[in-house]
Amino acid sequence: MTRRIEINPVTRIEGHAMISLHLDDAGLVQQAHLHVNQLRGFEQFCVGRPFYEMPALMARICGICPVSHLVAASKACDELLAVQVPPTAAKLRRIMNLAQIIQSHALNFFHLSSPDLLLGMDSDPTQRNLFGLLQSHPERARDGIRLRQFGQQIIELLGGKRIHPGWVVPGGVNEPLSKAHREQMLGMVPDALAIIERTLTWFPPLLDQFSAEIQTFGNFPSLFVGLANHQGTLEHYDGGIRVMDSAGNNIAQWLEPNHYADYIGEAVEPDSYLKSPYYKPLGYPDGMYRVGPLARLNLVDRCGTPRADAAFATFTASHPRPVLSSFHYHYARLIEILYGIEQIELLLNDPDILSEHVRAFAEPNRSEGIGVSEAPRGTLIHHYRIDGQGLVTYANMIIASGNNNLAMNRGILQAARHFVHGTEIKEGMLNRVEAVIRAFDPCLSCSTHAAGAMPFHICLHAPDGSLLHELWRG
Amino acid sequence: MHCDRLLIGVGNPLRGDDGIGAAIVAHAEQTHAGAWATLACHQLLPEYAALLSHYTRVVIADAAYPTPDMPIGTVRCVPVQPAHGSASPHHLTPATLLGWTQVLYSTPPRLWLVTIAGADFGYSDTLSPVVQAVLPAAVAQCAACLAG
Repeated sequence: MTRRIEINPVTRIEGHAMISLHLDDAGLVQQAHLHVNQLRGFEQFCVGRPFYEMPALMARICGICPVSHLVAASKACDELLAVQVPPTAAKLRRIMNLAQIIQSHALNFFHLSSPDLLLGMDSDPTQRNLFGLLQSHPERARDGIRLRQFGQQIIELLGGKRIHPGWVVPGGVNEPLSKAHREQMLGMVPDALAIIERTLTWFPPLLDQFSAEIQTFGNFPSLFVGLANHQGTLEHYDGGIRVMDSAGNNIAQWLEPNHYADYIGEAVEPDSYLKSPYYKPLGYPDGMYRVGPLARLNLVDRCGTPRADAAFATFTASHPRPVLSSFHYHYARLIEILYGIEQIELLLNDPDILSEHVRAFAEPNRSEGIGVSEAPRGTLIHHYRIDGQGLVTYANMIIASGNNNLAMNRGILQAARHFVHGTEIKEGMLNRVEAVIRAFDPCLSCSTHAAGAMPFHICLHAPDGSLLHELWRG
Repeated sequence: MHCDRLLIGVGNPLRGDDGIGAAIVAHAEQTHAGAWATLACHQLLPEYAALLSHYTRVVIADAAYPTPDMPIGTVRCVPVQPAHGSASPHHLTPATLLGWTQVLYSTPPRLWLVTIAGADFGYSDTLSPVVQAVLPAAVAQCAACLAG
């Protein structure tokens, strides 16, 4: 028996989350739910708008990963135009997408998760925050700032501004890359490489301190889903959808992204505005899958760049794939940052990267378009239908973080069962439940990642539904 | 040109008087061309902690909601002291940003916050007449801080 807790939705784009825990007579956790109580109405209020507005409009979903939405929305519009994007434009889009991934991963790892990782899960919560990290580990904080800056500056050099650049457009990009900007970007690469390589030196030994968390932070069998290419390397922009099971078997390969609705369902739970996507052939909720950096590393044979391949080999030598613990999203993020920097350098040195042919023009030639890309947090799908005037009649999006909803819920249940016993909630327990969510890095981050003051509301209920303990933060 | 001086204008030019920061930067680039480095941005970002460490004097110009003590069109200038406390990387105040610079780079600049009380923060890409009228005074205030 449970008590229903009603919380008015927060109307900001980046809102709040709530966790509820339900205990049995013995004081053991039986249920745990992550409630995302923010409403995004983009699928509805874009109806009636011209299709060519979609990239810029949809990017407003998020101030952290607007580039991801720009890319997926533009790819969907490419389909509507039925054009082939010029190769240079596709490469430039890849650069911006990777820059977005780098800055987003750096923000999560260095600024949001490092207080847990470097100061400890049970450390004084008044110090276990971003400023505490700045004071205790200034060199790490500086590295985080510089890596984030690397990604942000590349986005700005390409698109004119760091947040909500309008440069990625249907048919390509709206301006070629200048030689001066290319040289400026290439000049930043060595420093960024040095930062991530030293991070990959100090972080892995820390894992020994988190054996309990590695065992219990979303460590369970699930499917893994992401874009894949025929080279078996990391793919963030194109390719087909691959589905791997927890034993490492590719149960589906080269699924056509445009047919996503054939194999991905979207369940709706009554207690959250975040949908629960699942792999249809296994049904709901057995079709739970994970996306994002850990899933992507599980899906590939190698990264595809020399240094990242070496880091990947080190990782997989000590963590046989598929890696099931969601704690290792952190490690995976670092490897993806390294890959991203190397790949950006490779693309910038491509002989055609300065080509001025960067956009294909056309009127709408199809009434339906679907765009898929890999965002920092996983596979992102934009789907539009338009009428004869090019006005949107239907829109659907599967947001990267949403793909992990089922896994996040199961992850907090697993962690809560391990760390929560009895009637008293200790701060360390609260922090570990939060840290499960941080490992996934869902894009609720403006609210749920507020440093040191994560706006969570945890309720501990007895079997009769009565409230045993309640803890608010933020 | 003082290469060690920086003017930062903060705000959203599509929200009426919130765009005063960007307008100050644009105006200063005309009236004080090349005198200082300039930056117009929507919000303060963590990486600006590193940026600030390269300058000895910095002014952040931003809009403010009017109050009884600060009616519409008022230009106010206050020195900023570094703040040392928890903060979100998604919302940095000038004091917190300066605190980051001090802790991480040990070379915080002298920092002033110039605020202008706005009248209209609705959807608009123009300043209200009152705020437009005080634009030169706001730029002059920034210049005075940076010239010291």
